[in-house]
Amino acid sequence: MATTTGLVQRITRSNNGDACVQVGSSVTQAEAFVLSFDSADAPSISAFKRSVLHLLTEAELAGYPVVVTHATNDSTITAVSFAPFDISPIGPAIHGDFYCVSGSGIPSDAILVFESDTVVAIVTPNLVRPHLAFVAQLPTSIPLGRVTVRLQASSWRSDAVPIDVSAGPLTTVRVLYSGDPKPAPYSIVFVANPALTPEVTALYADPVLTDRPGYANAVSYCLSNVLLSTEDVLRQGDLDAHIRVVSVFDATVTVNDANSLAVERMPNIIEPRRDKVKGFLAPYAETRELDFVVVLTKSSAYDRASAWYTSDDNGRPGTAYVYDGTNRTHRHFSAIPGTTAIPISTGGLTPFHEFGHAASDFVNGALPDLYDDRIGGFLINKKARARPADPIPTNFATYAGTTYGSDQNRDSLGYPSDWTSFHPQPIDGSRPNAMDNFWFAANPPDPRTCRLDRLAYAWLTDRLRAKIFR
Amino acid sequence: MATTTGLVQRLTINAGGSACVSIGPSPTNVAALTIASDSSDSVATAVFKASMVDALSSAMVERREVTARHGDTDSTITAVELPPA
Repeated sequence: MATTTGLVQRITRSNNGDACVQVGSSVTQAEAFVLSFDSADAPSISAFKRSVLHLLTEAELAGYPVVVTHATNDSTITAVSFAPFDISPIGPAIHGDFYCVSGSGIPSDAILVFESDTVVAIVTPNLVRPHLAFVAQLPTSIPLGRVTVRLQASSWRSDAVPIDVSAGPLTTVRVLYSGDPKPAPYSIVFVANPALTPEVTALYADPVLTDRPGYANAVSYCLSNVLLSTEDVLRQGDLDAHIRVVSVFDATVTVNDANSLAVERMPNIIEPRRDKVKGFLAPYAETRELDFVVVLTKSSAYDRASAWYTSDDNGRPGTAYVYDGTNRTHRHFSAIPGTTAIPISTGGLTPFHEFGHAASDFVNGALPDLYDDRIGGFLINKKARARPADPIPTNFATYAGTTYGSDQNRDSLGYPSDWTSFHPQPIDGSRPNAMDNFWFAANPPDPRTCRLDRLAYAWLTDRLRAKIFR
Repeated sequence: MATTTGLVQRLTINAGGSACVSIGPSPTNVAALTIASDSSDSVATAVFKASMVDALSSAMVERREVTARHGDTDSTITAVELPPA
């Protein structure tokens, strides 16, 4: 067998049942191949020959190269495929919409190069990971119509893929990365909140639905926050390359109770309505397993984010672990996903901090705030002494056979004298714990440099791996 | 039944009546699935199977995500869906 690779230059269909296909780098350099439809063909053969012709037609219209397989010295097509690219643009290219390109080994300094016959437009992604380049809003400087897109870095360059750029409309459901090709990849869903539920007055339309650019920038900030901050729990070992990420922005939904995904709590807290998210997302085909849902809002006065832990599905499989001698389980699936409500004006380490809460579980282990003294339930990273004057134990807990020390000093912050609670040993004792008051970070005053404690890091890593590789 | 969701990264169609498709988030992270015709297929079955192949072709050039249904331990596609955009 031989193969010929090139662009489909011309397809000629004759009423004698033959299709002539010319493939090559140009019309003058093309080789001619034949696909014959025979009246003696079985229905299955006729149907698949028609599909071969359909693929060739799609390739011709899209400008995609094809690989034609044929016998040596025989122009009869026996198989055809799209020639592979080393990158994969995700979804349509639309001005003002998200735009993502996946690949492997993408350098951190990669840029997107859009090229038409007359224009070359450069776009710096908002986020680059080895498997993904993410753009929050595709600039209008990119010419409309047929262009090629490629990724390019100082010492690397991808294939150029033909795409068609349009001016709209913006998508309602946008897959930013589809996650592992399996039935239930771990998923993160961003959703623009349709309606806000006040504590005392009637619910009203969330202004986020009239601020698409603000929403897009908030998604970008959240992704960068959880994936590019100093804390690497979600990107270590390229864990994020296995995670599905989707955005849902639907400005057409009715303002009603079922579509209200956030409630305003005095004095300024915006809280996710965790019991509403699965039902709301179902019509958008996000009916797969949900793990972490980020509700983005634009409440004018309630601008402090909050989160609810996950409710694991304890009737489904899990990965066993032992904490302080007690058998526990990292459950693989959720009954209600971890949820957070985040204002689009968010900053600091807020998205990662809320992810820490939401990724943990009410029963199987919670990662609470460390900036208050409250204790309750099975907490991974906070315990209490009988009295504030009691010494903090040297060892905090034993998890999965490893003993973790206590934080004697509450990292750089210090325990208030009336507190009984204490925390595990930090990874970076010079800075607040990521689950503590990260706004007090100093030298540099950047909350995004804060990290988890050693125990929470190990426990959350195992929990995420149990879910991601379920 | 299981489902596999992602972009169509590769698609090969054999004129003899089979197709192999790679579905995944990127060119190097894919699941390989198949659609195969049978000489005993009725016209309706043959056309239906080919229509699934056509949907995969169109999804690839449109960069659209697809969901393929198949057996839990079987790579043979029984249904193809293009979710709403």
